[in-house]
Parts: sequence; structure tokens; C-alpha cells
Amino acid sequence: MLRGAVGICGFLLLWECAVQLGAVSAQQLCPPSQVAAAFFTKLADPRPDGATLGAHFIASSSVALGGFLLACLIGLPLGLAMGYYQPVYLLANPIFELLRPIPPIAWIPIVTLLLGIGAQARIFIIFLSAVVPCVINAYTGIRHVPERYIHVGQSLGMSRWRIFTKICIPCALPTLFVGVRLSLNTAWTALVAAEMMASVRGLGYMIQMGRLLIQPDIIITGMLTIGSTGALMSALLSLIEKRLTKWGAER
Amino acid sequence: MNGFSERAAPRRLLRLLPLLSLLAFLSVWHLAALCTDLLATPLDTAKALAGMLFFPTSKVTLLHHVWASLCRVLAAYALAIAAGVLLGVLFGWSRRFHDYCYPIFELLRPIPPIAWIPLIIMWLGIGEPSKIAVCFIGSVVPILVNTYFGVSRLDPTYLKSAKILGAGQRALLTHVILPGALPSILTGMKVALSSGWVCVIAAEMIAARKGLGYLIIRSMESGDMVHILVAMILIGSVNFLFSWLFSKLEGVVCPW
Amino acid sequence: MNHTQLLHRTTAFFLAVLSLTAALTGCSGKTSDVGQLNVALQTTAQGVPAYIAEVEGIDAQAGLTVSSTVFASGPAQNEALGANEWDVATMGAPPAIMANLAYDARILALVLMEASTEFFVRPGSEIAQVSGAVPGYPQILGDADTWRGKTVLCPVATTSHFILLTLLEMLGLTEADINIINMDVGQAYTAFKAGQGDVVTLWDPVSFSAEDEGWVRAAYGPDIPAYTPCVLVASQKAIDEKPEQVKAWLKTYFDVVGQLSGDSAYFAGHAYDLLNDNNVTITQEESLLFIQRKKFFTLEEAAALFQGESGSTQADQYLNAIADFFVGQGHISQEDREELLADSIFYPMFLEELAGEAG
Repeated sequence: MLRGAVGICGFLLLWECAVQLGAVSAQQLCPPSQVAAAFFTKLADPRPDGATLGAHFIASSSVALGGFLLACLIGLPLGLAMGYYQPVYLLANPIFELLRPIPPIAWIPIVTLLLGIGAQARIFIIFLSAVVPCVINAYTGIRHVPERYIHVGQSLGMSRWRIFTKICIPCALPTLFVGVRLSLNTAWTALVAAEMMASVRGLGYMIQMGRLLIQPDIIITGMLTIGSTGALMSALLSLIEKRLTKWGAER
Repeated sequence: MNGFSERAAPRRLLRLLPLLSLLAFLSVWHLAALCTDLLATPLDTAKALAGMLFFPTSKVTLLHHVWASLCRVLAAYALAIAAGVLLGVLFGWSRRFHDYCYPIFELLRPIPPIAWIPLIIMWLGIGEPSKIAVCFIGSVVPILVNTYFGVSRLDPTYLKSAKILGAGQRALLTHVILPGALPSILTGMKVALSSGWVCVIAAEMIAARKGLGYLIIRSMESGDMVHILVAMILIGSVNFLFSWLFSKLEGVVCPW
Repeated sequence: MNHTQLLHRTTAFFLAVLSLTAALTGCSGKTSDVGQLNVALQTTAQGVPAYIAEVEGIDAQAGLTVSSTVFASGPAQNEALGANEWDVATMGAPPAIMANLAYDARILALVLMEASTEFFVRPGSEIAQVSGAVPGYPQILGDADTWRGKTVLCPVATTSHFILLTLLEMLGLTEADINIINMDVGQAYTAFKAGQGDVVTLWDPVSFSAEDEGWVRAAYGPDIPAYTPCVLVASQKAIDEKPEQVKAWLKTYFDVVGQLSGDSAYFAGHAYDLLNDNNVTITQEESLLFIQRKKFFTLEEAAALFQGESGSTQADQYLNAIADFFVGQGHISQEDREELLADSIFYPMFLEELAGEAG
């Protein structure tokens, strides 16, 4: 933990020195001091793009979390069902495989046509990216349940549904969690692409405006905010996962 | 296959299901196209695709566009494998290196390649290297993470036995660590190829004149729905092809 | 081999990979040949004379080796400037202001007034039902009540945005009275067609298709007293290191413009090529319309814009209006605007020399 902090400080120091000493031209990379100044200014100042950092952050988070939650709500049950019921798999898989490899940016025109240009369109684009790990991991989780567990359930006379809910799903939980974590990462990554669509708020929009107005300190502030939030969210999810699996194991 | 229904469902019916599902999808698409008047029907899209296969778009044939994109992705991919495996092994091998440097990586990792574009342009200009750099960022992360995962989860008894048997550091690396981590590395490489390909659209926003991403961007700018759909299908198909090829490769290279 | 040695070896390998990448990088920069000029264009009218000068060999005759790149937008040109990828460019005034503040790029000349922005509404819109609300401007449709609360699709921080604000002022409204959605013109066209938004902002050649869609023109750029010049820009580096080339390029530009007054069809033919080659679809008729709507300044007219007391020339007034717009939006600070005012954005010396030599 301490070493990590040292590492990051060392990295920032190296960066600062590189620019101040002229190894890297200030035109090409602004030093951390400038980025920090921009960060603190942006916390309160809506210039130059019309909103404070907090407002951008809230706009981005709500869209990303919305897409993520939708992905979990739809993707996890779908994946579980696909893993357990063959007809569901045969029906859903072709469409899933067709739509899965298409990158989020490519969806923008079609989603604009179908859902307009409001937040719901951006949430949907994020959903399209975030649902993939949910489905895949849920499916894989069920497929990897050892046969013998199922046979035990069958020999105990449990119905298919009870086998599914009492045996398969708990067994699949670890893989499910990995999927949920991946899904959150993917949702956050798809954010910048989604915000290329008619936004007036959001970290991705802030970066776009930074490009337009040639303010690299704002661009880097935006990038690092995205980076640290992503890292924090991952860490948080890992923590929740550990708690839940511990609780589950105790049961 | 475990978990699948034992209940008797006629085989014929089951085999039909994927087909039914595709037909349903195409019908919904067709209906939506009729309703909105902007979306192209599946048939129109297929015709456009056929047309593009034979006639040049933006002075260059479709195959050239695909090839241009492929070159960028593959160049980035090669660099990503070199850097990703190297760093992943370092992170997994040296506790100290991991403790000091991994947090920096964790901070930079969630930043999507598209957000890197302004900095990349400032550093590398607007030629091929900057496009390759964007795809590199997309590809290196899965490889690094998976390699690190593979190396760090190696059963320590393998390492201990090898050391007892007198293996030096290099032999340890090439005969125990890399082969042991290979399944994870291959998983990472599979995901990375996909990621790099997905990044090519973002990469081709940097003043490109050829490429599938360029085709999609230009179609988006001119509101040309048919070509957007064609480009989407192409990008999706190549991605799908990559995954499929990789699974085959995995079976050959890494049967354990 | 111990632990440290392994670390060193792997680091060395990593550095080798980095150097390979650096070598690739080294190939990316443009060669700075003294006789060579790197030009950045867009698919806009102000780029056409430069394009003609290059393809018709006029630059070559003047001893210039020109290498042009066509960019999708002003901001894209500016990013490339940050990487030193071009020496001279044709662009609009807003990106030129940004380029000056960030990279000390200088405006060599103002070459035409950009006025092709148009605002369209659907035929059923309440804006379309009202006209004559703005005295002296009968073509502007709608009034304060019908425009208030509308959703307008418009790219922010552009000349169109500036023109929109002027229009709102004329209607007695402010930006707070409407809802602006930031969209690229191409995307805005598709979105509007799909039913999004109440008003759409378009410029040519995208706007040419709008009437076919049955949309009604609510306001037109030339009707609105918002002056947005298009400019020729040079990087400070080019002015310092290649002044003869920059001046020669400026001369060939205005030589070509001198031919326009006779032959729109000639220009339109090249506009057709420039746009279509760079994935902007335009027909022959549209390219004629595209050119005919533009009024290029001749060399004398362009030089006249810089006559007068420094700080209050015509060119200054135009730029100040746009700078004020940016300050009002919060995009640039008041200090930045003062810097522009101090005339550091203009570099009319070459232009004045050329005008003197011609006159």
C-alpha cells in the first residue's frame, strides 16, 4: 500500500521534472502541477465548458452506472438461462454473437435513430458494451458447475428449477462476480464513446471541449479523473465481492 | 454437456431454433427499417455490401480498407504482446516492482484508448504511428493483466521443484513460468486481438484515408445509414473471425 | 544470474521495444525541407484556392513544394499543429483564435466571410408560422415566444454558434432561453431527420439537402449581422524559418482568387474534386452553388482590412466580436482576449508587401 503511494509519487515527480527540465516540451505535455491546478480550478469553475468537474462527474457516473445496472439486470439472468436451458441458448446465442463484436461508437447512429439523443440513448450504448461480460460470465459460470453436483440434486429428487437456483447459481457466483466487475470496467470505458453523442455534460464531453479549446491540462484532468474513478470502482467491487463470498462461504 | 435439459425436446426443433432466431432478428430489423424510413433494410444492406466488394469506395476497394485496418491492428498487437508479456512477467515475478508500479498501471488502465487520442496526436503526429499507438493501448491491457494473473497464480511447488533441480533464472523463466502462464497469456491475447480491433475505429479518427473505421466515420458524418450498417457488419464479422480463429489456435498450441 | 540481473535484462528488452516504437515515431514527423511547405486544408470554400494552386501547378511554378493534408475540422488541424504537422492552413476564425492562444499561430489574411450557416425547422413548427418579427429582416421566421424553449441542434464554439447567438439577440432572447444540443452538423442532420430537436443548424454543403427534406429555412447567415471571417494561418515556426515560402504561398493563393471573378465554374469544378475526394458528397450543381455563395476578398480588399490604427482596423473588429463571444461563453479568459487585442494574432506583413508590389 505504502509502496504503491511511493510509486505513484515517484511517477508524478518524474513527470514534473521531465517537463520542467525541458526533456519533454511543455507544449507536448503539461506538468502535473498544471494539471493539479486545473483540477482544483475545475472543481468550482464552470468555465470553459459550462459545468464544474462535479457536474460532469455526476453526469458521467449516472449514465455509466445506469448502463451497468441495466446490463446486470438483463445480462446476468440471460446468461444464467443460456447456460442452463439449451433452447434459450440456441435462441439467444446467434443474436448475441452477431451483436457482440460491434464497438460502441459504431452503435451511435442507430441508437440515435431509435432512442433519440438524450441520456437514455447514452445509457443504452453503455448497456450494449457492458452486457457482454455479464452474459458470457454467467453462461460460463453455469457451464462449469461440476456434473456430479447436478446428479446429486437429481438423485435427491429436486426439480430442474430447484437444481438451478439451489445448486447451479451459488456455484456460479465467483465467476458471476468476475463478470460483474468486468462489466463495470467495460461500462466505464464505453463512457467516453457514448458521450460523443450530443452531450453537454460528462467527463468525455469535458475532454472533447478540452481538445476544441486546446487546453491539455483539462484533457489530462479528465483522463485522470476517469482513470482514478475506474480504479476506485474496481477496488470497491472487489471489496464487496470478498465480503459477499465470505458471507456465502459461512452459510 | 452438463446442466442441459434431459427432457425430450425433438432434435429437429432444437436445431431449428438458431435459424428461427436469426429470421426473427432480420424481420424485426426489416420492420424497424420500414417504420423509421432512415434505417436501411437487410436487403439493401446486403446489396450495398455486395456493391462495395466490387467497386472502390473512396478510391480504394473494400479489401484495401480491411487490409489497412488489419495492418494497424496487427502491428499494435505485436507490440502489445511484447510489452504486455514482459511487464506482466515483471509484475508477477518481482513483488517489489509490483508494489511500486502496479498502482500506476491501475490508475491508467481504465482510461479508454479514445481518451488518449489528443495526447497521442501531440506526441506522435497524425500518421500511422499514432493510429497504431491507439490500438496498442487497447491491446496491451488484457495481455498484461492476464500474464500477470497467470504468473502470479503459478503453483509455487513447480518453482520450488525446479529450483531444487538446479534450474537457473533463465531456465526458470522459459521452462516453468512461461509455459505455466501460457493458458492465461493466450486468454489475454485472444481478448487483446478483439480489443485492438475495436479500437481501430477510434484510431482511424486520426486523419485516416483508408480503413474500416474510416469508412464508418465518414458514413456517420454524412448520415449514410446503409454504409454504416455495412461497416458495422464487416467490423463485427472480422472480430468474430478473430475469436473463432483464436479458439482453434488455442486448441493446437495449448492443449492442456 | 541473480534477481537484479534478470530485472536488468528484462528492462533492457523493454527499452528495446520502446526504441523500436520511437523509431516508428521518428518516421512520422514531416520532413522539414526548406523548399517544402506543409499545408492543412478542410473541405471548405477557403481551401479551394489553395487546392487549385497545388493541383494546377501554380505553387510548383512559384518554386514551392507543397504537401497538403485535408482535415475534418478546425480542432483537428489545431491538434496537428501541436505536433508541428503543418506550416500554413486555411481555417475559420474560431480555431485560428485557439491556435494563436495555444501555439502562437498567426493570421496572415482574412479571405472570405463565412456566412453559409442556415437554421431549419420542420414545416409544422410554430416558428415557421411567424414572420416579420425582426424589423428590417423579413426572412427571419419566428419570434421570441415561438423560439423560446426550443431545442436547437448546433455545434458549440463554432461560427454557427456565434451566428445563433446573434440571431437570438435580434429576437430578444439569450442562450438561456433555448436548449442547445452540441452536435456535429452531419450528425445533427441525421438526428433532425429522425425527429430529434426543433431547430437544426446546418452549413453547406449539408444544407443543400435540407430543402429536399421539406424543411423550412428559419434564418440564413447572410441575413444576420454576425461576421465570421475565414482566414489563412501560419505557424510561428513557419514565419520564422520559411518566410519566403509562406509569402509565396500567400501570393499564389491570391493569384488564384484573382481568377475567380471570371470563372465560378472553374472553381466549382475543383471544389467538386476537393470535397468528393475527401468524403464529402456533393454534386456538380451543388458545387457551383457552393462557390457562388462565397465572396472572396481580392488582394487589395484583404489588405484594406488591415488599414487604420492598430487595434481598430476592420480585421480587429471582426476578431474582437468573435473573441467577445468566446469570453461570454467562458471558453477563453479576459486576459487571453487582451492578448489577442494586442495584435499578436495578426501578421499582415506579407499581405501588405504583396499588395504594395501589386499596386
